[in-house]
Amino acid sequence: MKRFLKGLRLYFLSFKLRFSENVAYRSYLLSHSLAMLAHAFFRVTIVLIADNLGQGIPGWNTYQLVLLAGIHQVYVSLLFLFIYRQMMLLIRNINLGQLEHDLVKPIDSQLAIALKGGNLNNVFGVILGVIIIAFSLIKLNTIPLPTALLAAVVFLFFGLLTVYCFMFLGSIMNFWFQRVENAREFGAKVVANFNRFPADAYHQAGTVIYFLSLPLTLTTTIPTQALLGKFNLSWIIILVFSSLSLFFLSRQLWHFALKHYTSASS
Amino acid sequence: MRKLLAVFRIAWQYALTSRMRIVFWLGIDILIPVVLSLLFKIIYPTPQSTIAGLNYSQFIQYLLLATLIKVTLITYPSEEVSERIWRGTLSKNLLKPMSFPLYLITAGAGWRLFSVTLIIPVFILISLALNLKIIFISNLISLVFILFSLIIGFIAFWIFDFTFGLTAFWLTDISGIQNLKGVMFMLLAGQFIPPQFLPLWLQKINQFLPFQYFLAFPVRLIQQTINNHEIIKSFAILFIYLIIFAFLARRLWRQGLKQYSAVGI
Repeated sequence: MKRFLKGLRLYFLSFKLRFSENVAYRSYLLSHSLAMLAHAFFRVTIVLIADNLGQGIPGWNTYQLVLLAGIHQVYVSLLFLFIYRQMMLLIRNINLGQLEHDLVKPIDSQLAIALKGGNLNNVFGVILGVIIIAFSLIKLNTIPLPTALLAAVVFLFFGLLTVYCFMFLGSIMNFWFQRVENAREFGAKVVANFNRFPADAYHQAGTVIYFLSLPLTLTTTIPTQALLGKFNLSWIIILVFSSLSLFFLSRQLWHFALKHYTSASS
Repeated sequence: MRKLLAVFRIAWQYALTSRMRIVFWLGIDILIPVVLSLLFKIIYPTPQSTIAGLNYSQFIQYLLLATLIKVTLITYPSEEVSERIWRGTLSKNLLKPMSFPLYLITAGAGWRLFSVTLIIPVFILISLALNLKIIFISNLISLVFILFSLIIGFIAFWIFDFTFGLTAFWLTDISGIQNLKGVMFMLLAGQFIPPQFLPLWLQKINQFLPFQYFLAFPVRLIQQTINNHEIIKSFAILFIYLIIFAFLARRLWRQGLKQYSAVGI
């Protein structure tokens, strides 16, 4: 317990240091916040365009889609807050042969990498997402029950676990290939572009594509449905099972990759 | 010329050593058309029905062409410029016996050429698989217009992006600005969806901004979904922006060099 608390304190300390680093360039802070505002606008505009064109997305009304955009905003901001930078550091350490710093720590190495401080600027992105969610819930005349809110948070966690695994698997490709820093970016973009729209939107794309895209699209669809008080048990099982399977795969591959690590260039 | 050829050869060789990296970048570029083509299958009531003048096949074709042009001609010198200013390594380039912008264009061309050799077969294969048209040019005049729009679009975007990069002389870390520019380009240039799909109020604003003339305009020329009046107007706006950004870039470069202190070295 004492070690856990010490670890927790160090974790928050690393966040504090990152915050100081983030506010060092004021213009960066301002432009980054503006960019996040633009991203939020982009998210909402894209789903509204999809809703207004042709026959729209069957089964989803305008404000439900805006709610999904809000969830997506929170999802991507949390991804940048807790995962993105850590993967960047992991890749740098693999390429420079400096992974030993993480490997010799008295905690699980994968956990040690995951617990490095993230980019605190993205808290603003989370706030923007929460504002969009609140606005759409008001328009939908829906007040989510505490259990629904809790369920949405839990499902969002599983959704983030999915994108974490995609990025982690992409990052550890650097053990075998030279200069593939963008593999993690690819992993993040695959998930974050598919889950921009609800799972039902891909229904016409063919049975195989629809089922293959489900682990990606459900990462935002299920939290949105949870806030609306809708629960689709089979979809929840797919999300939980796929994210846990991916996590298991990432752990196996991590241990396998470490056996091939030679600390070259360190 | 020999110096530039040497830079080009080195960039090409560097690209060859980063094959997997380029494959991943291309994967990211192709991802957006893939997701949108799957999504719009449900939005189009029938494949024959049209939205803003485009049927489903034309929409897919638009996305593919926009991706092809983006991969081929849209380069981001601002990343290189800001990185060098931030780290202070611009000093090395200032001492070299060649113009820095010319160096960037040449090095970028070597990298792009490798990307193009990879994406063109992909483009042809997807077009054939989806039964889409590959050859669009119907007469010599349209060919001239298309080539002209591509060349002017490339130069204008390059200077536009370079100008953003030069702000690093004063702001040091411009990743936030680049992020902002990226999202505006994605929405307004037509990389994500054709500009005619945007809400009317946004279309009205967008016609005075430069973004759609870099990417959507050449695609619309290739697809022949643009009238003569719009062609003339688009070229005029593109030229005006080209002049404005060339002037700005020149001024910022001169002022910036006075400000530059090789911080980071």
